Amino acid sequence: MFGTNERFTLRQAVFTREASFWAMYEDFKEPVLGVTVIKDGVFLENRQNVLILEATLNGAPVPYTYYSDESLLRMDTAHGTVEFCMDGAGQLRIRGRGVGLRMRVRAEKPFGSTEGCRGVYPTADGAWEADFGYSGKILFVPLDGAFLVSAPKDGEGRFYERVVFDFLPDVKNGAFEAVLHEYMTWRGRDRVYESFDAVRGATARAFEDFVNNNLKPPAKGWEELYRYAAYTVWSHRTAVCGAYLDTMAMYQQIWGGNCMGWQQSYNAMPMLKNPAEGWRLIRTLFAHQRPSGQIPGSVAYYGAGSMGMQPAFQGLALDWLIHSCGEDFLTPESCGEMYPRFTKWLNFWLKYRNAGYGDDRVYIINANESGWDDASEYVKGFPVETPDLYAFMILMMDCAGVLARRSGRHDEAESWTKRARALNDRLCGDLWNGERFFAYLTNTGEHVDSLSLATYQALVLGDKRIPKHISDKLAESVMSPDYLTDIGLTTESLKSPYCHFGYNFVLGRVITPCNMLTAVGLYRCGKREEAREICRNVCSNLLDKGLLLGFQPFDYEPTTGEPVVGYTIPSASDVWPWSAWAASSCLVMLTGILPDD
Amino acid sequence: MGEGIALDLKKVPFSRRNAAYLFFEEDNSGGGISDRERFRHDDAPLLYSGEDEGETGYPPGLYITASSHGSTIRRKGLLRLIPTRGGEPADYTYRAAPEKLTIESGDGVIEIILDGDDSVRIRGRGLGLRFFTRMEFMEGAATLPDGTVCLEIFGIYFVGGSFYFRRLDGGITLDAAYNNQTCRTESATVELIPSENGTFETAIFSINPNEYEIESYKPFDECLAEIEGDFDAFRRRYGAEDTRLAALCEYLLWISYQDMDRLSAAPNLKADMIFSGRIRDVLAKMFHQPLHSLAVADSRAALGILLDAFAHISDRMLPTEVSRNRILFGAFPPAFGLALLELIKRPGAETLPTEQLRALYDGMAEHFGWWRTARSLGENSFSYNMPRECGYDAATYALCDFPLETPDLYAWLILYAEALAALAAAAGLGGADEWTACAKGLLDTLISELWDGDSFVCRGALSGRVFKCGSALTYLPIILGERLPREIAAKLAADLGDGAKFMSGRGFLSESREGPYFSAGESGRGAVDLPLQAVLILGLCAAGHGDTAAAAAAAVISAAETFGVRDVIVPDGEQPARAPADNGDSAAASALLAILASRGKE
Repeated sequence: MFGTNERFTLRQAVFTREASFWAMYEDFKEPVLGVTVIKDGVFLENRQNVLILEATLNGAPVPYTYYSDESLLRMDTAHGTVEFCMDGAGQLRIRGRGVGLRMRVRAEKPFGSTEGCRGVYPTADGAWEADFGYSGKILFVPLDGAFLVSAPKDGEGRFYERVVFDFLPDVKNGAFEAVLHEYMTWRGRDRVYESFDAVRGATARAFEDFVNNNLKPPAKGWEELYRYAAYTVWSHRTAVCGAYLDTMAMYQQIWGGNCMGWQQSYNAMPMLKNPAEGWRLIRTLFAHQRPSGQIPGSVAYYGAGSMGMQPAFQGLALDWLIHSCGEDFLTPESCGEMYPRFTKWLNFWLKYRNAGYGDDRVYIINANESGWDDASEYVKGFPVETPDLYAFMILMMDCAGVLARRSGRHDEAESWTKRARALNDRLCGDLWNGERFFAYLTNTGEHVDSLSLATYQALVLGDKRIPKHISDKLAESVMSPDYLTDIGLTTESLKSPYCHFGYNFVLGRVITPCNMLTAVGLYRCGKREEAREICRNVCSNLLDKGLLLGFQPFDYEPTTGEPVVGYTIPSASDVWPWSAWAASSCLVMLTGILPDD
Repeated sequence: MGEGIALDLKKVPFSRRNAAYLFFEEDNSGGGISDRERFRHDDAPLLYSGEDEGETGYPPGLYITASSHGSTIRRKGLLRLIPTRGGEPADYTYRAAPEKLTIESGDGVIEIILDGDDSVRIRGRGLGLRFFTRMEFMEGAATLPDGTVCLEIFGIYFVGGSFYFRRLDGGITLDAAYNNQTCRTESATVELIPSENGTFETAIFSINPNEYEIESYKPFDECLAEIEGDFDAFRRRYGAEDTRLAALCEYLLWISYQDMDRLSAAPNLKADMIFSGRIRDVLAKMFHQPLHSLAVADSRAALGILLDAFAHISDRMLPTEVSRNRILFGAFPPAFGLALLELIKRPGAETLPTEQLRALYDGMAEHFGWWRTARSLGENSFSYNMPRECGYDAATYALCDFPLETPDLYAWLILYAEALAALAAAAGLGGADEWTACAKGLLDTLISELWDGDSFVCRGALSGRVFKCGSALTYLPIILGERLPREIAAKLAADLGDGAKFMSGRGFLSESREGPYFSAGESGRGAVDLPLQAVLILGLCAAGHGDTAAAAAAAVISAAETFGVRDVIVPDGEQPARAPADNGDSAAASALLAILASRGKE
């Protein structure tokens, strides 16, 4: 799948697997592989528990290329190979033949230092432990061949001048083998280890099982991107440990390894072959629900975020699953269990973000709560009511009705349905100006006329909720060159004075999840060919560039004609790195929209 | 009630137990903090590398901030307080006491109290109050439909704080325009405006106060009385002499006291803990919890501190650090034995609940088991695996071979095993004899193998190499008191009391002056480390060398009265500047209280 002659490299999606926090990647600055453990959630440019990999021959580095697929990473040299695989319990397995492997601690910050390594020492059972503080510990267990550690300190014993681990081939058979364990407390080596091939085989099967059990096949011709997206989604799923009380979907790995709240719902949406798994993912955040009903904006290994929150996206994801798969996966038991929690979250919004008109209109007070960090809907500040926000509430209420009905709460079901319809009427009546949806300042009543793609998001409500004259108008406008480019829809109209591709997120760049949502909306409003066109444009670009979150469609700014000035941090592309957020959005497009009816 | 504690908010913050908020005075000491540092989360990249860095530092003045758990000074979520008269900034003075912060200007006054875990009450007469902050990407400011003003200052990385201003009297306005070119609210100004009668009252919350569904607000003075009562009750744990220094120490411990996390589904902070401080190292260091227990006179409270520590045991390990945000597992000096043996000597110890003693026994036995598995390479042999495990990163142990057998570790473990024997007996459990034998075995190893006739030495646990080390940690076996042969104790006391070696005018140095690696300003490598003072002084008293203990105690107390309750005191000259309000450390506070209590017992 990846490698020197492959389409994707490890500068995009890393080599890892479900339930593993090991991440192996190609360095952005030089052609070398690195390995790290991402439980701490630290951004790559600040990571300190980074080990750079070198292939060695008689102790000297030799050039290598690499190949990787879902279960194996291989370093290839002229003299031999080194292979890696992982299990889902913290093990990184290594074996080599003909060459050795050197793993050298090289922190990103301060760059080149050993600063993150607090200690390296032998254990009683022949292994070595390296302590990286909050980033965890690594146990190096040599199984075959020789193992040397070089970790001299400076003259005053304050820091390590270098920390280097050398695995050397046995002189008799030319091979070495080792296990690395990552953990946060303490462990010794295992008494028995499965073979490398057994570990690799189990990983390969786990991936295939994930795909076969949960995902529908892609539209014809998209198989390669599909497997890459499926791999990315699968490999971002956490183990159950720390604050990950159930398997969750990480947003990213070496760039901020944590699980964002609404992205659990994004990752639920592709589970069309196993909607129960999608429902499980949606429910994971609720384990961390506060007494007020609020669910956290993120969950990381060390805990759930205590500040801020993300949109109530759960209704949209659940409604999509129901629309695609029917309701049978919603057992009465799970509905009964979830109804109180789901409505507590919904009521948090309806009560504590209530706009004060005596109905269910709500507002947000900062961009975190919308998911769209810098949309032009916020140009006049907060609190603001937006069409996408209303859409989330409508879908939450409708889904609350479904949960109520399926758990025998019929009166409540009817009430939620009525309230959803009432809010839907307000959306289509009060936030529609004949041409587009707009935002509305709660305190002043001022309209905020925005050309943000976010104003099209209400299309996700589908043709049973959005009148045809509205969906026709929106489809016509969003499919115009004002938004539609060869690589997908810009998140701000190219005619907008705010459109910008540089530092911003959704003020112009082609953002994969935004495109997915718009495509879902058009699809559900009967505009299937429009939806598919968007998907083809987006997915063609993803196939070419990798599962990146966002792209600049042009090298110049549309408002000024000047070259785009972007971030200076090293990254896999022009800015935003790969992510499971993009990958899950891609899978929705490949399996839920592009396939023929 | 804290009479005589006038808090200098340049040196220590104004806050309270378990409070989300604190106030301090910025004076740009230590060079100030640049905007570039201010707007960086310590783990996050600077997103807008092309942006103008703007002004440097915070203007001097009073600030409010939300506590942010972690181990670096997080200068985010700061609001500057500017008293106003007629809408214009007014010159002012302030008086801060544990229960209240008072700002005065002419005949106007503003009073501030922390009336709840995550709330502040402010009332004013004759003055208004302005709050100002610059803001960054993804931070929000809004006036809610019910008039509540909210500032959410935690950026894209959710580090910082939230401030919800709820009007009780007078008015509140917000000036915060959102700039879509820069995608942020660039600054926010909140004005608390007096009503026509010249008064205002406002409550600040860390969440939307509507979520609390408060029907009525307790009167300001009633809240104030509760705060006073809470501090008084907390102080009574200590039974210290009523001096300004003792009161300041008790205040620092009070504001560092953090309740367990009752909200999280997977909490890191599983029990109440005493954090190191509120500015830097906003976390609990497990190594210091026994010291905090030692400082407490009330035996039940002292036992509670130990039990709270062991609530965090996992895989037989204790964490070295814990806060709401993170937990870090590792090895540290197991000082619990010393704390428990002192505790059971106190009046009232005989009434300690048996079930609690059993629970503590279980935790300590499990933990000792971990030491046997993970830090023992032979019978009666224990070692640190890396230098920081001794509690002082820069200690000259770092120059030895690791894993390293050290005298201090043996001393801690001897007392630990004896404590287990005592607990087993007190709780009616078996095994006391085995623990006693274990302690004796370790003592034999210490004296027969790590005493070279002149001093205690360290030994590489694998290499077998012996190291003569200038660290004061090698004198820690003094805590064994009469267990040590008299000649050994005498030699330790003589060296500790020797001005050419360890004794200074401000306490015991952490490294001998004679050593080639002595560094006066560095913790563990020469400076006077307060936690170490308490242990050595108590040990000298136990070993019958009260004169040396008294001399050191007097020096330490004098230094603290001069320089503040700092964890590290440079033995000569002025103390290095620290960030505002970072001049009070809870471990130093407990050390001082323990030292104060030891006076007269030499």
